[in-house]
Amino acid sequence: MKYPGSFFPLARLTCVEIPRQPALLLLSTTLILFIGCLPFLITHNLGEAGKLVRDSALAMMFLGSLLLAVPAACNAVSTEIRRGTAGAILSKPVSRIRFLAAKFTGVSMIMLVFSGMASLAILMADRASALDFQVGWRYLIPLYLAIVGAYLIASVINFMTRRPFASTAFWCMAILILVAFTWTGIRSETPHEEGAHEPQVIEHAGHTHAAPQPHVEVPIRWSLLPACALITLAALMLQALALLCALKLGVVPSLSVSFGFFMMGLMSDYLLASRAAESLWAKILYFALPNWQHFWMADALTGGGQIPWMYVASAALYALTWTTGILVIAFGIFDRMEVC
Amino acid sequence: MSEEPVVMTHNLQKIFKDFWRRPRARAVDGINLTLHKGEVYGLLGPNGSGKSTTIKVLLGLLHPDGGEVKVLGKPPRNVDVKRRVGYLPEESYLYPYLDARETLRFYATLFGLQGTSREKRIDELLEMVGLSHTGHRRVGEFSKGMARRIGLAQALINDPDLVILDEPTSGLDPLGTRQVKDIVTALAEKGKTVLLSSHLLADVEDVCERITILYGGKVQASGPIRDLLQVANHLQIRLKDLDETQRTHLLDTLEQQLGQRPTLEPTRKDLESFFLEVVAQARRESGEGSGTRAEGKLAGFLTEKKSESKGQSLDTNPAASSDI
Repeated sequence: MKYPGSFFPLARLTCVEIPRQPALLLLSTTLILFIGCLPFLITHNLGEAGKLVRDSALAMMFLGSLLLAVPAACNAVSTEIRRGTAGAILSKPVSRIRFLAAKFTGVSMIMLVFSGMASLAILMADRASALDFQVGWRYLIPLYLAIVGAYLIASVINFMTRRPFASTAFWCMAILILVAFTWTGIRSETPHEEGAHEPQVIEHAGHTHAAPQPHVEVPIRWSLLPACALITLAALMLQALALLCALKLGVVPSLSVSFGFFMMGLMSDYLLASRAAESLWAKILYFALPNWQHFWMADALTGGGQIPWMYVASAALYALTWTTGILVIAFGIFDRMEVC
Repeated sequence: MSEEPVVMTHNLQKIFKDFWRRPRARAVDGINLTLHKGEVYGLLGPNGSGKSTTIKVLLGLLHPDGGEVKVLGKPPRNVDVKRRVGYLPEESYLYPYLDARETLRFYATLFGLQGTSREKRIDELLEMVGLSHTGHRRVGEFSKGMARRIGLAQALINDPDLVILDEPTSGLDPLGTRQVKDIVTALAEKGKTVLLSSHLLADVEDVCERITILYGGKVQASGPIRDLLQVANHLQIRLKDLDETQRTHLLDTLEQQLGQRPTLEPTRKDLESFFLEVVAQARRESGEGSGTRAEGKLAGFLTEKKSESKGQSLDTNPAASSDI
């Protein structure tokens, strides 16, 4: 008799272990804080501040997802094999496929939580930068308070109950950002007038100033969510690749290969698309490499554009197929692998 | 013995290869082992002699390059076999960010243990290894000895039929060493089979019935420990409470009868016994210290009769039901 239950404890352990590593907390805090700071860093740009904030925030989320997903996947496998914990677990009634699948699932769960936090931060940052020459502090301050609050609550809990600070702060941050987003969302439920987005510019002594608009509510730009979902899919794909590399390589070589793959995937249209018609190898490589351009759709949002959810669904199918292929190779390798 | 052996290897071979699949080192070379139920078996040898490699083959972590391996009558990679095996690795491979209780809970869950029976086991094991007062401390902060203790606890969480202990006393103080040896002895008395790998000879001598000595991946000596340690043509007579006159008379008589005058030496305690006496005395006088606290007594669930635990285990505790 096998225990299907061993999958969940392993996945859960990965979810518990990864946030306890201070690196995850520091990286996610830095990235979310940076996204939250973008509106006032870019606010004095001459026009299109909102687009710049959106593009920068999505780019930060993309970069952050990769920086988190790849090391987390490498750590979950390579470090466990090297540290001996993989061997210790595989000496228990746990099949190798289940071990690897659980590790992937655990890392994916953490990635989804991070993506959720980053997406909410992007939505708030976008609202805060919607009005030219003004920073919507009412949307940013709750975000900052959520981060500070998470650290304070984690400190108190750590002091009172000795629970690990890093993971408590990470989970508190996830909850408090959701609370902050909901709170700012509820506040904007009051109907706003048409054209409220347009800044009222006044001229005085040859200088242009934005007129104060204390009560203008900016709606949530839900159209950003498909862009965030696409970035999350890309991170999950790269995470699967990192997991495969980590079976045979150490953390640093796995990181190098994964980022090399990422760069090649970014340039695959330029490098391989034209050659694919002539060379079979170029064709194979072109189809084997993930084309990250499919997952970077920030430009589609320009001028009020939308990314259809059908497009996200087809991208998800592409990501699922590619990830499954990579995981099947990983399962095959790991099943024959010797674990010391 | 008619009963099927718990562990059987025949002409076991393991060769480590390099990147190009060329042989790099012959770690195990034709090892034959047979372990029976209720036996404590010692695997001895210097570093690099093939002890840990043999154990990893028995656990299905490494693939043999030749020979036959059976654990509990099945190939070692069989997941059902692993349900009945407890393993303490050479190094305490633990998740540093989990605390002691979480660590045991995690391993218990891998065996399908749930609810109050799991928590009861964890309590008993923590008590057994003397870590009940540090249950909420991260194992990454543990000393090597404490990590060995929690490692031992996780090895016994499933009430295994076969316990494989790789250097179980490494890093333990003499008190901890004694406790581990007591636990091993108690496990064997309860019908568990224990395979103990160590290069601490005194530990093996104290608890093992049979041993195999490895060197260069080959068996150098094997058999019951009493037979192997017997010195041919040397006898020992033990007497107590002899006064000076009796001693002289005895020596004279033996000299007359045997034609050689024997030597007399006072019986000495071994250092371990002396140390334990001193610590026990100190403990009686000044109470418990702040370190680990354990009496080396077996956890309650390990002492239960199989038939009783089996009845309970059908619905709640699959890891406890096991027969060879």
